[in-house]
Amino acid sequence: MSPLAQLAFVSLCGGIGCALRVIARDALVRRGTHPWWSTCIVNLSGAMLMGLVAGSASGTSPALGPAVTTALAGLLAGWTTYSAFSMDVVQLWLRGARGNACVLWAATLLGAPAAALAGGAIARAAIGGAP
Amino acid sequence: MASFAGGMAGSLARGAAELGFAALGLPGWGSRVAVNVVGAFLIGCLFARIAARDDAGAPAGIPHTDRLREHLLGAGFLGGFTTVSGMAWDLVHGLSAGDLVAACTIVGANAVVGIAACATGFAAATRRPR
Repeated sequence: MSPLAQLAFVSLCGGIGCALRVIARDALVRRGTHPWWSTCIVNLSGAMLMGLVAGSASGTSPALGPAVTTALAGLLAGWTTYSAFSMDVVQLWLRGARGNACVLWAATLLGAPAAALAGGAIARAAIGGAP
Repeated sequence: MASFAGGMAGSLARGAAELGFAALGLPGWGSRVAVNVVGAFLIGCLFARIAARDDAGAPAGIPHTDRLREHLLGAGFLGGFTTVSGMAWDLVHGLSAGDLVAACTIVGANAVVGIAACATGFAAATRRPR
């Protein structure tokens, strides 16, 4: 795949990921979850799936081909969002909910790498690859 | 639909940044650090322009009249431009490869610089008249 075709492919998958994120976040908010926790749930789930995808695509016997890996990584990059996370932290801080801001900050920044690590470990256990 | 269109444009911009970094011989994780910090600054600016305010001047949600703009530019473009999943995997990969420079840069930029950039964007755009 040429770089331009790959760019277009990533763009399309990222757009789909974004639309799915908005739908999922709105659904969580309708069920009573705070908007910032909805974004956190989306980000942690995306990080874990990214670990699974990247772990499945690495190692000596990758389970996913390059095109599938590119599509899924693009989708998950669109699914997760750092900008909304940072705005949620700043909003909570400015509203005086500083404890919640710190919890959200720590939950996302510690939880996302831990989730990605867990996803990679699951993939490694399943196919015997390296992270 | 607005978030899909904005997300496509944001993902395209992120992908272009990755290609630009690669062309300059810079690592891929560097481009994701850069887009996260820039995206955080821009969403601070955006929220300062469109969010309703409470009595203390803190942002208090997006008015219905600005929902389309928020979905297109905020949740869409900047949501597609920035990434937590890429940041998380970059950190795991950097640590497992023993690249402490990458790991420390990723942590510092996303934990401190990005949040500060968002607050700076919000404060800077708040000072400008709407």
